[in-house]
Amino acid sequence: MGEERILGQVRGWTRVQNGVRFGLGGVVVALGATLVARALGWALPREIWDSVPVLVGIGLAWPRRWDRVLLRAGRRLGVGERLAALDVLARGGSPALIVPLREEIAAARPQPGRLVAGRVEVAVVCFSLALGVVVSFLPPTGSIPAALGPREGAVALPDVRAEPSAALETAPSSSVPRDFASYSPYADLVAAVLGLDDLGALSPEELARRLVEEEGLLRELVERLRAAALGGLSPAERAELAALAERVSRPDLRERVEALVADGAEAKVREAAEAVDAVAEAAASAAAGNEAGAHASDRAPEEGRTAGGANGEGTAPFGEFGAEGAEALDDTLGGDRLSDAPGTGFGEPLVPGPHGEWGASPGGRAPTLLTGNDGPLRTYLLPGIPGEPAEASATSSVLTPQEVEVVLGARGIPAEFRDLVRRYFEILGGNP
Amino acid sequence: MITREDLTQARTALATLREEIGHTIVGQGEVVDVVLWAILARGHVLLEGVPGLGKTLLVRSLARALGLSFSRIQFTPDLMPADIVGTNVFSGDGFRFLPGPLFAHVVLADEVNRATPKTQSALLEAMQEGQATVGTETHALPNPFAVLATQNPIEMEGTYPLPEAQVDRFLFKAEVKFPTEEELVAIVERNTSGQGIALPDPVLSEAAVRRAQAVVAAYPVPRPLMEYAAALVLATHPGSPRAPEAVRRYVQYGASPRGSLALVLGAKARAFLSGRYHVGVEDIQAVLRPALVHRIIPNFRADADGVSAADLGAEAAKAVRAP
Repeated sequence: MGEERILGQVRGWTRVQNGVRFGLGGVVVALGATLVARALGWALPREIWDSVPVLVGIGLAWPRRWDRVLLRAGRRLGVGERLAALDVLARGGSPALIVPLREEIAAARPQPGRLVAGRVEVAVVCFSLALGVVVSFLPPTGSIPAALGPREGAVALPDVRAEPSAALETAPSSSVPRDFASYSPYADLVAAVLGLDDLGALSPEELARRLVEEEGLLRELVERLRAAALGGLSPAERAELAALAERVSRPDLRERVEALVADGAEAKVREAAEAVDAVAEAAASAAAGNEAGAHASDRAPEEGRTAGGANGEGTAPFGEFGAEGAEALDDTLGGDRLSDAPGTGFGEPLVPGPHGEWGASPGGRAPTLLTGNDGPLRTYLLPGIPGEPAEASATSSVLTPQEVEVVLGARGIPAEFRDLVRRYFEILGGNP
Repeated sequence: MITREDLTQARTALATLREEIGHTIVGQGEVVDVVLWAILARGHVLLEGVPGLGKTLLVRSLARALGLSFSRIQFTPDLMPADIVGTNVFSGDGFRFLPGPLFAHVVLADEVNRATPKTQSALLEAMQEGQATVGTETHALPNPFAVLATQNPIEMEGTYPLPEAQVDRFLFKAEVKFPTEEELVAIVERNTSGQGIALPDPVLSEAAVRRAQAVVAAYPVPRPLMEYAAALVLATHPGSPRAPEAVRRYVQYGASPRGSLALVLGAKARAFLSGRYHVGVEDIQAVLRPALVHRIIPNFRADADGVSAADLGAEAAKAVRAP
């Protein structure tokens, strides 16, 4: 092997060694930053980890003093200063010395891998592993990082804008809660906005009041943050905003906003405003949904009690909707008895409905149907369809047959009631 | 242009040389090494030691083993430059140069500090230039040429200590130490057996020594090692940021740039004699003491506190990180 080839190989391996060292350094720093971020509940920018391969590239290309590099590499490879001496000779030394020096190096059988996996590198790898284990045992922050935009915020919050069918499909029927009638998909959102684990301790009125207050607070905070962001915060503004941020219910948002306000830089304040805005939007959605949900959970028992008569057991959940409920519904349909239609009676097998005969007769009186936003039926029914989003409720009052099937499958509606429900939605959909 | 045969022959011959010297000289291995380094590096050595330690015998044996001519000059206060350089004498066809004892490959300048500065200067000029001028004629000294000067460190009365500038011209300073008990017994045994002291047989020749010098000169020294040598010299200067506290406190003048040369040249010679084809950090560290000890000038405080130049050189070496 010629001296140039030997030196070229060693140079290549030392470049790899440098790349590995830079990469390991980056990993250690990233792990350390992750550890600190998790310990303090901060969000770690993705750029920290993205920088590791960049660092490897920098390490590979980093300019080096080859005479020193060869001196150290020779020692690590067990050939002492021979590599450095060979380098000197290769640049114009005596050939009588090159040959024996080359032979000595070849006889030592240096393992270039030792350059990459030296004691320092192994120690750093062990340290990184230990750090990684420690980091893995720390729980992730699980917060809405204020530094993140609305996209990331939406991940942390329950997605209230999901398609109804998709939302329903994801809910296994076996996990339907017992208090199904009072269940609202907005409960999670409300809990997230208010930073509560359990909403059961609060009455619906209290919940609504707190939600409105929280939204108001968040809106005010957003406006103040945006107004004060330009040019950074003055000490007075910082104190004022910190006092406002202190009142935010959601703890991780509160901490993050406080930290960003304490920093005071324009960019940080804008981040805080974005984060608060995202939660304020969520609070608005939750307020709208919760209001409807509260009505639903309040009214369902009333209606049930009405239908249940003397026994007062009117709290049957939607999935256990009984004949009494159907009769009660008949009353709300302006006198048209739903239970009279074939195949719609309690316990009756499904038979095709009287299609085409439900239109108003020329001389007959049109049934008094209340539709739109004013009708009590709508108020009752729309929130009573679990998981239906607020936006959908505002534009469409019925489910498609496919969605009905999903509701039936997902909510564990008893088989004997399924046809009734199908029929019910057919009528609502204008297909009597 | 040296060849691989030169390399092999020189190395083999020098290994034999050490064995031969060992038959004559008891102990003093370090001094022998330093003298060999100096000859291979084309330098001169200042030998310092009390009388009777075998300095003259050592130099004579080395010259003999190297196959080089040898002359000894006993320096006295009345020794004149012409006594060592030579003089022009009139013969039938005019003046003819009669070379002095300086015209030998190996010159032992015994008790060099007893001669006057004028004579010392004549010797030191010849050492530096490799030639001697008498009248209007310049005469080249033999090649190889090495001066080994001795000094008696305890008997300083009536002497002319060499100025620092002239001491600096010696590549190394070797301290001839008193032999151990075992060595002393061996010396007594050899000198009282009636056989007398047998000088070693020549194992090299003038040409072989020149080839060995060429080989040593061709030894590669990586730049980081040169930087290390320079840093070591700088660390002996009290005004240098590299200087340790002891140097700042006790050193009056640090080593000259010749100190760096001595470190590198000595390291090359040592690497050659060690059978290696490259110079290492350990070579520089090994020649540190003989290369710098006579170039560091301690101040009065060092004398008062009993701190020697060798101690200060060691302190300076500790302050510099090896590459």
